[in-house]
Amino acid sequence: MRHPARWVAGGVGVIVALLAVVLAVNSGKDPRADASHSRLVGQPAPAFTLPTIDGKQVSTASLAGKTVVVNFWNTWCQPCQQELPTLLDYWSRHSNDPDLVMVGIVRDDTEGAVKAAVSAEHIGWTIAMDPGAKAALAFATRGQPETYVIGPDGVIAGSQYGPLTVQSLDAMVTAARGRA
Amino acid sequence: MKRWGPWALLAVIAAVVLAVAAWPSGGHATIAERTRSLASELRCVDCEALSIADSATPTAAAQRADIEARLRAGQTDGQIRQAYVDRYGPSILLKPQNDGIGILVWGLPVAAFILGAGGLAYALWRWRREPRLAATEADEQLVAQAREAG
Repeated sequence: MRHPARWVAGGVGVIVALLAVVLAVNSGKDPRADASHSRLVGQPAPAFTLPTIDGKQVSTASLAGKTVVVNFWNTWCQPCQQELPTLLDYWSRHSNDPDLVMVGIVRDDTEGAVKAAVSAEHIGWTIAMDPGAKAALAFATRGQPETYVIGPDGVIAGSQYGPLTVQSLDAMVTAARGRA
Repeated sequence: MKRWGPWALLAVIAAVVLAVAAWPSGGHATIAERTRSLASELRCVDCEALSIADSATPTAAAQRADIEARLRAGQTDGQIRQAYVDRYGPSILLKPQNDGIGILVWGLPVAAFILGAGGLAYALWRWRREPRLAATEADEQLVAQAREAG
């Protein structure tokens, strides 16, 4: 080793080049890309028992054997308001389906505001509060609206973060029913 | 010995500082301290650029309560981090993991620093030992002439 300083400089150069390669390879990737899909899809739905705004309770046990659309929402969230016509449309076509249940779980809102919105918008499906955000935590939600479709076998068949479309909801419900 | 004294002292100070910084501090930490520490490592999922520790959202509050409950149940910090990665994905971590590509992220800057510091120390040592400029005969004559003239 006649010129150790050159070796050291070479080593630093190699490391800087490696760092540049790592940066270049990862520069186009969204570090939060895994946030766009739920890791719970394909797994049993988390168990929950929640108070509904009409004074009853809704639980996973009471929904067993049915296809369940779980929609996390609240009244102040604008994307939830954009999504509402889709849910109303879907519910108007499926409210008589005995094997399909829709449950809206409210994140971060007051019961008074929710009751007013439900009355004003003529929301007919079950609406439950989520004290302590326990259900939101169990479903690993990242905000609202966020929707999960649970198959009759209790397994989550699909999820969507952000406003639903009729097509996306239909696709998830079809997939969930295919699990029966 | 005198020449190396300050360098040896500097090396000892650096070693002590690194040892203190790297020494695990969780041994006597309370549940509240560990909750705060873990929460500060996890990204708030329903807000931007905040940790669970710094967020006021109900979800973050629920997550802090969840972390505390897991600690009280005897889970280790590593098990809790892994539970959150399993649930939300690696993006829940504010610091890169120390495996896979994370090793490069952590290791390369350290390696570059060590190599650079080593190279600088070697260069300084060499410059001191071997002066880069040696006076030629012509230089010596010039100096001698200048002295005579002066």
